Amino acid sequence: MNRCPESDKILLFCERELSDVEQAQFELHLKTCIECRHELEQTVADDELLRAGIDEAFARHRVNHRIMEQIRNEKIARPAADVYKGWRYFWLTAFALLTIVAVISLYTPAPQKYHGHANAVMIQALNEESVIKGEKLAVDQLCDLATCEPASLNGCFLFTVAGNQTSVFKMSGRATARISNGLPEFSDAEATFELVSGSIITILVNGSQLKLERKTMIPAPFDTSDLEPDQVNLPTIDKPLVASTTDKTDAIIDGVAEEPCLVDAPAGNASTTEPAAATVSGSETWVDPTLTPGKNPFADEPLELDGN
Amino acid sequence: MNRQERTDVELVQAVLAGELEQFADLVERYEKLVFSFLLTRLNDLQEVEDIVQETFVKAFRHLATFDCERRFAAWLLTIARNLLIDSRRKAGRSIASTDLVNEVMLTDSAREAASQPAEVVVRRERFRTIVVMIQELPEELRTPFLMRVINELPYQEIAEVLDVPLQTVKNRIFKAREILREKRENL
Repeated sequence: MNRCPESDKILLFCERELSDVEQAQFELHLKTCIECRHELEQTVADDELLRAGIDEAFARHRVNHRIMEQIRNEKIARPAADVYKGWRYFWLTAFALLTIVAVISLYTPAPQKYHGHANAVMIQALNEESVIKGEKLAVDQLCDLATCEPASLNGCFLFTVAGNQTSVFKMSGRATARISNGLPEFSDAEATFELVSGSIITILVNGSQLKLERKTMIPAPFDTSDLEPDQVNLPTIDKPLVASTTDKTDAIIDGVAEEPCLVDAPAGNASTTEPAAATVSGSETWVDPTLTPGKNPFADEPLELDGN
Repeated sequence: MNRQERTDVELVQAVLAGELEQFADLVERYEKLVFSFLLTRLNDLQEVEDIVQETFVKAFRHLATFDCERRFAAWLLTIARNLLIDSRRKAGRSIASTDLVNEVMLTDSAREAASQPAEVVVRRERFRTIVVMIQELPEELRTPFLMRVINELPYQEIAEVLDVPLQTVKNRIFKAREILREKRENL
């Protein structure tokens, strides 16, 4: 069947998709083309029939009253708008907070570890003047704080705290030490504390927490310089220690022996110090006179340099 | 404010605020759209009624979850489509049926045929033929075509409801009309 070449415009005409000029031209064409006019009428009629038929069916089968009746009678819980919105805001807020925390954690260095619980605290005196519970503690002698707490301390002590990790700190001054909730606690403290080695540790000093880090000290209310182990008083150290068989040197040695010294001075050291050698004079000498003059009595036997 | 002038979003917010009867306006606006959407997909008009009712009741129950940025009509059709799929799955049948409304229409017309003039009978037969042709259209062409012809929605609104570009809607409706014209010529 041959179609009118203009029939393709019928659907566009129905949908009002033609331009004003095209619309006017096609209307003129419809007046002369029976075929296109018939098809247009058929299309429009079909649309109207379809619309009317469904409208008729719809009018017979409307359920609007049933819907509203069900909504009213079944007592459907009214949509909890606030609850839904509240949850929506809750999750949005939670997500935002988690994102912020995640971002911050990315740019924050890992937290330093602290002792959560001290399994054992060992005390070691650093000098002979250190006193625990009124008794002097020998240097290098260890004392378990658990066996003597509360321990009144006066002097310079080294604390070794064993927990998840080990920390060693020094206390100089006066305090009463005990273990409190797994942390070393110092009450009535007039002392300085310094972390010597190991991980950072938190201790309790006069009721407040103190984090001990490397090279950090709290100021002491009094001068504790005389308690510092590195600054012990050595009253005779300025005097030359000599070894001699002369009366003069004997008198010096006797004098040394009579005066207290806080540090043991090995006798061997005295015999090898330069000042001692410098005091040797005259014919009286501590060198064996029977030895061949000019020969170093302490020298090794001559090496046999025979190439082997 | 005149109730008819209230937008869908305003009506939804009113219902959520406790004005239950405002939901009747939403039913009034879109019942025909949902009905026609289902009409060419189901055999049984009683089933169409049930799903239309269920669609609106379900919409009411979940009204608080409605995204006001969307078209209410699009949301309703989504609910209706899901209920239709559930219904077909339970019945063990496919969504596309071969003989839908016309059976009911024929029953209706047959009931009245005796008292109607011949012209009316012919008209009803013509209607049945049209419905059958529309049922044979692909889903993607049928829905915009029915929204255009039956609900007389503008292209732009159809595009928004179906969430497709405007030109796509025009093309689909034009294609549907072409197919219907060819079928009509071949009768």
